[in-house]
Amino acid sequence: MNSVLKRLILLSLACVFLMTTTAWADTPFQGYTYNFWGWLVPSPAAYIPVRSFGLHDICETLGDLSDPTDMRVDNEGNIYIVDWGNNRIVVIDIELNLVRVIDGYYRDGVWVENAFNRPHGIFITDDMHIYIADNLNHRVVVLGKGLNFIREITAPQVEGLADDFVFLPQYVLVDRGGRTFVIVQRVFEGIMSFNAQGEFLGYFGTIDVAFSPIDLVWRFIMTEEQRAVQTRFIPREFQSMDIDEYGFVFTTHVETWHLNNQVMRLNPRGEDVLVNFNANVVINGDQGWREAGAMAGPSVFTDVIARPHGMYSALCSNRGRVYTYDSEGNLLYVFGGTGSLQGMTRRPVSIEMLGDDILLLDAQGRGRIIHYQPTEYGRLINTAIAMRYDGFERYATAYWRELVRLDENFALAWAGIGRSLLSAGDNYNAMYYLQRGMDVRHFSVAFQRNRLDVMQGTLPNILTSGMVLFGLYISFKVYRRIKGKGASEDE
Amino acid sequence: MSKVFGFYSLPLRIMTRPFEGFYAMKYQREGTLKIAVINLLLVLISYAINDQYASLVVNPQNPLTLNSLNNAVMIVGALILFCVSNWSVTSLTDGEGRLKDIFMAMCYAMTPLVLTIVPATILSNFLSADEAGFYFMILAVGMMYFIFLVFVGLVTVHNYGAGKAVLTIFLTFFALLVIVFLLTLLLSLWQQLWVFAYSIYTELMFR
Repeated sequence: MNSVLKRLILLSLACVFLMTTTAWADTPFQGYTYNFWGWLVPSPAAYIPVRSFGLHDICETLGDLSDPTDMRVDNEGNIYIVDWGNNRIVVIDIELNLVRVIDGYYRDGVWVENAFNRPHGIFITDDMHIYIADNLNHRVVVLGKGLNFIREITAPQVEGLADDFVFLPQYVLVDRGGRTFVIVQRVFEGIMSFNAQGEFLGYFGTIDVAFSPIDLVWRFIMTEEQRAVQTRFIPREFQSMDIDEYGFVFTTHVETWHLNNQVMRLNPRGEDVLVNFNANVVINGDQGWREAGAMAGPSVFTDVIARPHGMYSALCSNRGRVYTYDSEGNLLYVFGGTGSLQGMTRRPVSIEMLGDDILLLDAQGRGRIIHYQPTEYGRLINTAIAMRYDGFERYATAYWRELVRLDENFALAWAGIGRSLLSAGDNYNAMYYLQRGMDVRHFSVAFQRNRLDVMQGTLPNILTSGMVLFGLYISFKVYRRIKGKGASEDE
Repeated sequence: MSKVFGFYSLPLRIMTRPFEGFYAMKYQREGTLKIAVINLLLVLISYAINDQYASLVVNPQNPLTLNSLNNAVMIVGALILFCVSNWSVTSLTDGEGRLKDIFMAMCYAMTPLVLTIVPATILSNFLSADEAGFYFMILAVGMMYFIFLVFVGLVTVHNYGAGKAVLTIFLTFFALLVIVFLLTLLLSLWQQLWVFAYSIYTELMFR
């Protein structure tokens, strides 16, 4: 008896240990998403931190990062870190090799040392031209292959700028046509855009200034003097930008009103074309937050990255979380967080993608990069969304079903099954899954098609039997009349 | 019609001939409180059915927050509040209606709601998002006819002209605000009194 009990205990202990080793996901944060009604729904972690490294892990003599501000990955997989405090750009790769340190350039064959003064933002074009927003030198430097100086963009000489205007470029971006977009400190009119020759084109992506009714009432009450003293309503400042595969520019800006998107997707004309089909979940990160105390306040999107297949991820500097949306504005997953645990950030400033992995740049202290890799769950979502975006939705059913198996509360997966069934033509079953996933838009489509199917299936029979009955009725009448006539003649 | 629908004939008569119907309700003593309450219950049931069975396309409700009892309390509460404030205004402005008459007029006026909500709910299950307008149109027609009947009912019950009726309805909403304000005040005062008494009680207990 005793030995049986012992064995049972041992067995259960073994079970417990086995279970912890297989089922315990070692993430220091809780993944979540929002459902149709804007309720928070916990979900598995889509990305997990696999390592975190600083410059001291790469090279002993390199020193530490000092307040890094920006990070970019070029199309060869090199990671460019703008080391703001040390006036240099450090280029590394993901295998932790130092590629080079950029702190100067060749100008007409002559090496210019310590050429940068507080560089802030960087961009690398497809043909490996490097654009550096050289903040306190009031210019954007363009470097070609071999660090050869090509040209620089300086303060535009145009009418309309204030007399004390100082050109302090922060972030820089180049589109396929060679148009350069620069976010400049204390310029609220929009993103400054320059043509390929460096001439000022105008402001890009101006934010509409919305007068709230209360503001208008106040202005009505105020005297002339008060109105004159009050500064004009200024739009918000841009935080960061990135360009997607179609040449559309993603930007983030600080929002004061909690029902406005913090992300914009600007078409080449500078109009916001960001799509969000769910009015209950706004594209500004967390939908609810504490007003005071630890981790209070709304999300602040400090950086955004355009991902392939219409997805984009935005980094919140307030809580260190990364929010990933698809091309329809669905919040796919949230991961990351602030704290001192491994894989968490203290002061995240920049987000980049390397293949399917995500890199976060943490500016706190010595500065480090946190490398996130997708879990099976995250990879499934990425694949299924990519298939939908590329038009292979009908083949994505298996991925969505696997996601439902992993996380039954994930409404997008239920809707995903429904949508793949819908595009495969199974309207009746699609309705069930779309209802479970609360995809009202596609539920309506599936319902409409199913209704048509039902009608096409039954209406011919109904009409045929109606015709037959009508024919019988007529012939009966005719018969009666003939018979009746005959009878009356008989009488 | 009265033969077919029996006891429910007056609500239908009010719908088709409102002035004559309300006149009969009050002055010929045809209206009964029983039928009025039944009409109110029918509306509550209709709304519960609507919440539960209207199609996903027009009614994307969260099943976890759906509470028919809560809705019923809200509707009845609003109705009683409106009746009381209307009564308190009209008794000062020569209205002839008693509280019972006002309540009955309101309940009898609800027949269009009874007749539209459930059919609209059934219809919604055959509509896609593009056609949802029909559903909302039916509901809106019912609601508008209800408001019209309330107006006619109040005019008839109080023996007012149209202008005076409009004025008293405006005053009714004002009285409604005052009542809500006083209720809130009363609640907070009562709570403070309660806390005071309770703290004295705890003091005495721990002495």
